[in-house]
Parts: sequence; structure tokens; C-alpha cells
Amino acid sequence: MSRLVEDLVHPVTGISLAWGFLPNGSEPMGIGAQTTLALVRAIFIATLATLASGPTSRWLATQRGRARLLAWGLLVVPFFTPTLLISYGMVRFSIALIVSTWGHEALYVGVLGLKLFPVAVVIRVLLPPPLSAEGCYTYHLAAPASPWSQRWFHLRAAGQGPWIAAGLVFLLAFADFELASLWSVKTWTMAVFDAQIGGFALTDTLRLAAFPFCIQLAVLVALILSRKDSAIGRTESSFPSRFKKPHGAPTTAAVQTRKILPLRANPSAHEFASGLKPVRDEAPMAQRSLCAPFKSLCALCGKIDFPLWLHRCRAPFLPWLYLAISAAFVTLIPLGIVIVQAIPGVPRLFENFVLGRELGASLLFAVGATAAAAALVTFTPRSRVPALFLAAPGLFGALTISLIVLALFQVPMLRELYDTPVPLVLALTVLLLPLAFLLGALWLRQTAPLYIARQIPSRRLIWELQNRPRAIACAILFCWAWFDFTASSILAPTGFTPVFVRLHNLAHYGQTAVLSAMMIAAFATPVAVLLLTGTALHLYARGHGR
Amino acid sequence: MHAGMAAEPLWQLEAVSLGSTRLREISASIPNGVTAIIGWSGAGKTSLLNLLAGFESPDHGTLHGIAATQVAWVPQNGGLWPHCTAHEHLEIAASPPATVPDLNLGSRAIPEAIGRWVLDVGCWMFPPKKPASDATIEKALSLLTAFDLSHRSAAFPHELSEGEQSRLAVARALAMRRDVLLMDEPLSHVDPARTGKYWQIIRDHLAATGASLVFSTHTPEIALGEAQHALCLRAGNILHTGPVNALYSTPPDEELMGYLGPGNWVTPEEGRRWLRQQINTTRCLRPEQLTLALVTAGPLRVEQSRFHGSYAEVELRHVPSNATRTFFHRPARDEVRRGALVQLTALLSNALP
Amino acid sequence: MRKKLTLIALAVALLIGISLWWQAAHSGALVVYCAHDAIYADSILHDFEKRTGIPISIRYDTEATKSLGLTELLIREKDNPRCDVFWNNELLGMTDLQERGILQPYKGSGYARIPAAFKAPDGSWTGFAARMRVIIFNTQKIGTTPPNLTSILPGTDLSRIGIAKALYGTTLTHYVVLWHEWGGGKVRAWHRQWRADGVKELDGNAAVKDAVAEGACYAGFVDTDDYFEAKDDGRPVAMHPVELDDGKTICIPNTVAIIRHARHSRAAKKLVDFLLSEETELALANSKSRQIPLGPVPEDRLQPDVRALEPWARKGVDLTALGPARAECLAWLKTWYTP
Repeated sequence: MSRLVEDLVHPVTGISLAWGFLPNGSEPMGIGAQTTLALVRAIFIATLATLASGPTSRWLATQRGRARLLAWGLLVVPFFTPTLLISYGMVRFSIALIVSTWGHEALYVGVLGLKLFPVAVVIRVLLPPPLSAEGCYTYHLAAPASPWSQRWFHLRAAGQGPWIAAGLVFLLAFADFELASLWSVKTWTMAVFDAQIGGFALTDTLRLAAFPFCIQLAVLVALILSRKDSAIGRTESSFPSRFKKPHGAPTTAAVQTRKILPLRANPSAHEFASGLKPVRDEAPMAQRSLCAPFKSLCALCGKIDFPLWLHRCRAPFLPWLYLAISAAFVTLIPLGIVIVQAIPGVPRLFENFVLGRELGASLLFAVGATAAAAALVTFTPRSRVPALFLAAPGLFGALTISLIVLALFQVPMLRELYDTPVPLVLALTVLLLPLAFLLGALWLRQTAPLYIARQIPSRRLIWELQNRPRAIACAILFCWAWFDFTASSILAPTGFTPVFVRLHNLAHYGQTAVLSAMMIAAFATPVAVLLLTGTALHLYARGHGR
Repeated sequence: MHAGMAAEPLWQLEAVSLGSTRLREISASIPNGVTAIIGWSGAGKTSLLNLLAGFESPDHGTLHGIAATQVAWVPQNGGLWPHCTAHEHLEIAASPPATVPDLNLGSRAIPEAIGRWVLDVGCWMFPPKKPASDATIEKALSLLTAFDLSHRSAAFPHELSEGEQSRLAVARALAMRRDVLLMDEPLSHVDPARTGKYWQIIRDHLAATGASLVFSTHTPEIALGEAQHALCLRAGNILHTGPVNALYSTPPDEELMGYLGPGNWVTPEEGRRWLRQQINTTRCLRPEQLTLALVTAGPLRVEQSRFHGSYAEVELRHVPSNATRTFFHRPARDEVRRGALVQLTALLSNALP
Repeated sequence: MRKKLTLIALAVALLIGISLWWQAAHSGALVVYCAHDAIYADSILHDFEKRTGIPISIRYDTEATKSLGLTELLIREKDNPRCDVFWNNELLGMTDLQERGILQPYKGSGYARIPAAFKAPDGSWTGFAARMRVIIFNTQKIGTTPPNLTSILPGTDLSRIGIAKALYGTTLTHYVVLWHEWGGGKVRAWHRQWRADGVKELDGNAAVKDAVAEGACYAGFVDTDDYFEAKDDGRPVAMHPVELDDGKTICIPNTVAIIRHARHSRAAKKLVDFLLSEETELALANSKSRQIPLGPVPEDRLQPDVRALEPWARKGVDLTALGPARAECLAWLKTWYTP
């Protein structure tokens, strides 16, 4: 060794080798090891998110007015923050952590966890524990002596919220590709991607992905089975009432001729929460299913008194503190850095505005995918099987879906559509569907007030009760599609690249004023589009309603 | 029930407040026996029962009395366990109560959470067996039959009608065999024809166990028929406490009179205008204390009459003064027609002023 | 039900309509797949578009091939090519495409001005505007004397040394050169030893550059354009070309080729000639990436940084003979990264 400074010459500490999963071992890390690593991370994130989502969802329910709006805003903003913004804004921080295997790992797991935590909270809000507070207290009064029996009771009473929240967060964390690729994290999606880059045939790549795919499939099946094995049900279908809407009901004319109010089409959130397929089995043991171990882990979080630590410490500011830190770390600080850097770059960007075509492409793809996803959710038959069938593939992650769509359009019959906008719109639609069905469950329900508003009919009320929630749902889907990177980079047609692929290309030149200004333009465009559309719709509704 | 409890009130409330308006510095004693909490919607009945059950704690003031562990509670929404069958409800309720309620690790949240998790995993691996069927449990299960739920024993709460859910909630409370029963509008969704039957079961249970009952109701007949004491609430304040019979026959004011059903609040001056005989003091005349007779001549003319079965509501005009007023009376049948001339007679017993 | 079917039929018809319109609207455009950095390639390609009036549709690769590698995409599209011209940022991928018969030989005016060492004898591809493989190091951390990273003893802590993933890009070329020089066994042992000693394997050359510029890593392997970005940004970095045991350097040219069965072969030839022209080489040399012209250009029109690189570039190892080494090395790397 001629002249490598002395700082560089230390005996190998071994710390980076002690943890066999982590990068830079002397032996290659196989797909199995990378899958295991992703599995450990996903389980860790899902467990934490599920544990914390219980108290947070209940705390959210107690918020009112502007505090509620602020809390929801802070909660969901990390989920919708594009990974490119996080990566770009945090580039120096993440670089500083590169040399620390654990620090780098912690940063990835932390940011991914903060991004996915809102999913768990939203699910827990959607699926609150079916056991009422009164029921819980009554059990406390009547509780049998055995702690074993008490735990068993609460395990069964936790409902599906923790289970489904954990499952969804697990799937999203396990299938993460964008953040992993931006921060060079070892995970199976990266291995699959490397296989593609390395020239594996698609079938070989997909074969490589078979094991993680099976894990995802197993979790999905467990999620679906869990809907059947629970006896905590109130309505016949676990899907929201929107799926039970009678055909033809959406039109005012059809509603006016209906004489019987469809009472069953208006379950409360609580009813929706417990809207599971009941099992006629009398014995409680019948609930013991294959997925029970995972369920037990998740159900722990649904136990009413676990989050009492939050009350015990008498610190109501803790949820606010968490929300503030989460939103600041994942969204506000990176955004702030970019904005500050962008200020001098804005005039230079407008002197030579080169992003017009890319912004147009993003707009086209996002609108197309949003419209397709919204249409599919609207026209999906009331039965939950087609809904699950449509929503499930999107949970496999952008990379897998994009590769499959790419292969699909290499088939001779579809080859003519290759290199057109169709493959990307299709892939984005598939990726949007899980979120679309989730939002549908949240907002697109038929309610008695809406039914009466249609009977009047009042355009203003219909806007407020039906069209505004739908518009918000579409806006969220639009943003989700707008910020996609993986599918766009693989499937966008030649010469019509969405803006984030372009920005990604440019981002490796480091943080520059013009690039930061481009980032701001890329973020501001959907906001402007949505603001304009929203204002127009609002004015339309206000001008025509009574 | 403890022998010494006869003299002691079940609960003593001193300047108890809950929320800003739910209960406002109320002070009262809840005695042994059967107490009805009466009031219009929003008066604070449920809030008071929640406090007595220990489900909620007062924001201010003190509440002494029976411990929550000695109470069986029927909340307004039933508080049923959605994942348990009707059979399981009674089985759990009849089990011996916990001496150590749960893992008691104080404020050590993390060890507690880990402990619970271990229990969870253990529960999954070795689910608890059903408790042995002893006589107590058998007896509790007989309540299913008593409340006409035996054919629904395998049903989950969401599969029961609201009436059945009401009955199951009451049956569960009885199965717990506690010193005090707290019931928030019990049997409210049960069809009236069968309500009496189920109240008889409650009465039998109270007689057999010596337990006390505190319940809220909107139904004057239930309060009158079942309760010995009444506690009247309005807008978070206590208006009155005392024996139910006294409240019925000699309510302190016109508003309290209405808490136990229809009545006629008559001043001596009004008595001179509307009644055949004089009364010396302002007083309540319940429908059964007023008779309305058809006459051929007189100052009172019927403007309107509605027959409600157990009583009738009639609007009379005092022709000389052109004044009108509504009276409640208890006719044998619907016989009064508009335009008829009538006279009102109060049935005053010697015991009443 | 009928309403639904009508809607579905309408949606399908709309999609087909959009696709047909798309195909028709873009049928006249010259399709260019470009693996070179968009920030530099964009202005050159648009300049060509302005001058000739030939519309261009560009598909860019991304740093560290975040998108599917364009080489792989071309192989996949072999039977149904969309691409007319492929502008690669290295050479070995192009030789692979040549061997697979995907490239259409063309010897135009540009081909003639490039030295034989940087072009295929049959005209399948031609090189231009090269970069060099260099060691970048942080002068605040290790001073101004270049470290010798090629003769580090086993057991040395390499946690402050950065290198990009070797599966693609110029790092792959670097590996292939070593494979050719050292033999497969030595490269495998070296690679394994460096991982064992904790070398930081990052996502791409830009990440290595950033890590060194920030001081997180003290040194690493990048290309000259990466180094100049950090230097222009005012970072405390210096560089030294990677020297092989025999003193040779690694000089990696851009390459351009026409795809066989290209639909716009006349326009494609025009673009190839344009890219291989003196003007384009000068433009790339005087851009921030400081790429080294391979054909003759007036020295006085080159900036000093590029002139300083030229002697090193002339010592560049011959890359055209590395086809077999590439195949062997890549096969092994695939088993390493996706075992």
C-alpha cells in the first residue's frame, strides 16, 4: 500500500460483519437473505405501526375542528411525500450515514416507517374495535379470574383493525423499492431489479421473485381469510355500503322513484368496522386459524388498555409531538431545504423552461390512471370478491407490477400498444386500486342524509355529501399517480417521460438552485391543478345549488 | 347483601360535576332498594349512572359508596360483547370474578406490554378451556330461558334483534349476582306486552338476592311500578329526590308532576273556574282523580278530545270567560264529543288536602 | 349491466384510439435511446433537432440504471425494435449488442475522423467523447497526495472507500478491464476481500462522488465528469486517473450506433454523423463534464482541464478486445448480486 492515509488503515472492526444480513459481507447476499432482511424490516415496521396506531386513531377521534384538520394533515402528509423529495432533501444527512451500516439502516427503516404509519392509523380509524367502551368496562366488571381468559377475550375483541393494518403496512414495507433504490438498501426488490439490469430473462427474474412473492401472497390470503374467520360481525358484508348500493341508485331519478329507504346501505363507521362475515360456529375455538399467530401479535395492539401508557404519562402533547416530528422529518424539512435552494433558481428556470413536456406527460398519466381507478371502484360489483381481486395486485409493489406489465405488452397481440401511454396507465391504475378501494370505503358510501339530499334534490348538499368526498378521493389518487417513479421509469413511452423520471435523472448532480426550482415546479403543478379544479367545482356547486 | 347496608345509602354524592353541563354540582344519596332516575332526554340520567358504575369519574366533587366490583351494569347501548354468543355472555358473567384483575406492573408500560404479548402468544397456542359447568353457571344459563333467549343462545349480538339484545344485557347483569344492579333504560326495545314478564324476573332476582337496583327510565308506569325511590334530573341538576309514591301523588311543582305521567296542576283560583268543588291549595290532580260528566247546561264546553286508552285529553272552554284549558282524565271509554257541555269533579280523598 | 358494458366498451375504444393516435403522431420522430446524462445530451440532441428539423423522441437511462438498462431493453426489443439510434455512455454494452446482431453498420463522415482504437471495424458502432476512470479523494480528509487504492493490503478497514455497484455502467467496464488484466480468479478474490474489509458499495458513481465530497468517504472510484461536478461545486476533492499495473489508464468513450431495421435510417445516419462531428466533441469537451475528444480537434478550443486529461487518455487500455472478458465478468457478477 503506497499512500493510503493512516486514517484509512484500521483493523476491520467486524461490526459490519456481525449482522449477517447487512451489506458488505465477504460473501454475496442471496435473494433469500435479502428477502429475510426485508421481512425483518417489514415485520418490525408493521408491528410498531400497529402498536402505535391504536392510541393515535383513538386520539384522532377526539380531535375537533381545526385541530382535527391539522392532525389529519400532519398525519397523512408523510405518506404522500414523494421519496425523491425525501432523498433529495436529505442527501447530505443520508450521505453522512453511509459509513454507518446501522445508521443507514436506521434511517431507511425510520423514514419508511414514518411514511407507512399513516396507513395503519387510517385503517384503525376505518376499523375501530367492535367492542364498545361500555362493553369493555362491563367485561372489566365481570372479568373472570384467569388472566389467560381475559387475554383471550381481548384478543377476540380486538377486531380486524390491527390485523389488517399490520398486513397492509407489512405488504407496503416489504415491497418497497423506491426508497431502497435511492438509498442503496439491500432488499429483495433491489435484487430483482439487479437481475433485470444484469440481463436475466423476465421469467428468470420473476422466478427469482417467487419466494418474496409467495410471502406477499400468503399475507394477502391471510388478510382475506381473516375476514372470514372472525365472528365479530354486524352486517353481511365486510365491504362498505357503497358496494351494497342497489344498481341505478346513484341517479337522482332512480332514487326519487324508490319508496323504501335502503337502511342497510348506511352503516356507521363502527358498523363498517365490524362489517365482517359472521361465522355460525358457536365455539370460540373456531376462531383459531392459520393466521392466528400473526393476528395475535397484531391484536395485542387492539387491546384497549395497552395504550394506557399514553394516558398514564398524562402527556396529551405526545401525539402532537409525534405528528410534528414525523411531518417535519419526512416532509417539511426536505421541502424547506428545497424551497430555500429553489429561490435563486426560479428565474433561471423560467428563462428556459424545459419541463413543460414532462409536466404534460405526468398530467396525462395521472389523470388517466385516476379516472380508470375511480371508474373501476365505482363500477365494481357489490360483492367483495371482485373488489379484493382488483385491489390485491397493487399491493405487490410498483416494481413487480411494472415488470409484469412490461412482459404483458411484449406478447405479440399487445405489442402494438407497447411504447404507447397504455402500459403505464394500466400499471398506475393497478397500483392505485388498493388506495382507491380504501378511499372508497372511507368516503364513497351511500348514507341516509345523501339519500334524502338526492330526493330533494339539492345540488349543494349532493356536492357536500357525495361529490366533494369523491373529488378529494380523486385528488389523492391523482397525487399518488403523479408522484410515481418506478412504473414511469420502466413503462413510459419514448419521448414522453413523466416529470419525476426526469428529475430523478437530474437529481444525482447534487442540489442545485435550478434543480430545486424544478422540484418545486413538479410539486406545485399538481397542487395548482387540484386547486383550480377544486375551486371550479366548488363555484359550480355553489352557483347551482339551494 | 350486607346486613349493615340497610341504613347506609348505596352512594353519597357531594357537589359532583361531570363535564361543563352534563352534571352540575349535584348532591344526593342513593338509598338501598329500587331507585328510578327520571328526567327528560339530556337531563343527565346516563351520566349519573356512568358515574355510579365507575365507568366515568367526576370532574369535581366526591362520590362515596359501593365499589364498582359490587356492581352489575346494563349500559344504554347494552355493552354487549360482539365476539361472544349469548351463551358465552352468561357463562362469562357467572364466572367467579377476578381477584387480580390483570397483570399489575404499575407504570412499567414496556414490561407490561411484553407480558401481555407473551400471554397473547400463549393464548393462541393454548386457548383457555371453557370453565367447568357448575351450578352457578347452570343457573345463570337458565336466565336465557327466562328471557326467552334459549333458542338464540348460539347467536352473536349482531344477529339478535334490539329487543333480544336488551334482554340479553339485563340477563347478563342478573347472572353476575352483584349487590347492586345499575340499568340504563333497561328493556327499552322490548315489546310492551312482554315487558311486565321480564320485570317480574328482575323483581324475583332482587327478592332472592337482596340486591338493590338503580335504573333510568322514560316510562312513568315502570318507575311507578318498580321503584321505591325517585331521583329527578333536569339539565344536569337534581330537581327532586324522594319516594316515588309521594312524587306521584303530591309532586312539589307542575314540572315534577309531569315526570310521572300526565296530571292536572290546579290552583284554588282555577279550581273555582273549572271544578265543581273548591280546593284550598294548589295541587296535582292525576287523571284518575278527575271525572268528566256530560251535562245539559253549564259553563264548560268541549273544544277537543283525544282518547289515549288509559287516560283522555280534553280541551275545555269556559264560555263565560272564554278561557280554554286542557285536562287529563280517565274515562271508561271514548265518549266525549266536541261541543258537548260537561262538568269536572275532583275526587279528593281525606288524606289529600 | 348494459350500461356498464357500454361504458367498458367506450373505455376500451378510447384506449385503442389514444394508442393509434399516439403511434401515428410519433411515427415520424427519430427514436433515440440515450444512456448519456440527460443534462448534457439534451442540448446536443435538441440542437440537432433544430438544425435538421427532424423530430426526436428520446428515452433516457438514469444514473445507476434506475430504469431498465437500455442495453437490456434493446435486446428485449430485438424482434420489434423501436429505437433508431443508441447513444451509449460506454463501449462494452455496445460490443454485446454488436455480437447479438442488433446493430446496423454505418460508416459515415463521423466514422472516418475517429481513431481505429475507438470504433468497430465494420462500422457497427463508433466511439466519441471519452471519460476516464479516476480515483476521487477528499483533500480535507487525506491531503492532496492521491491514494493508491489498487494495492491495499487485506484486512485494511475500507469503510471510508466508496465504489459503485459493479453490475452496470462504467464500474462494470472497470471490472472487465481488471478481469482482462488480472484474470478472473484474482478479480473475484479482490472483490470478495474488499467487501470483507467493508468497502462502501453505493448505488452509482454520483453517490460515490457525493460521499467523497461530503467527507463521509475519503476516496472512491468515479468518472472524470463526476469529479468535475464536485470540483465545480467547490468541494474539497482531487482526482487521479486509475492506473493499471502496466501504467495504462481506463478511458471510456461514448458510443453511437444505428439499430438494425431502424424505421428512420436516413435520419439516424444524419444524427450519427452529427454526434461524431468535431462540433459535438468540442461541445462535450467544453461542457461541465469535460469529455475528451477522440477525433482531431483544435487544441486551442479545449479548456485546460480537458487538455490535462489528454495525455492520460492516450494511455488508455484497448477496450475493443474485451468482449470475452465482459461476458465472463458479467456472468460472475450476476451470480454475486443475484445468487
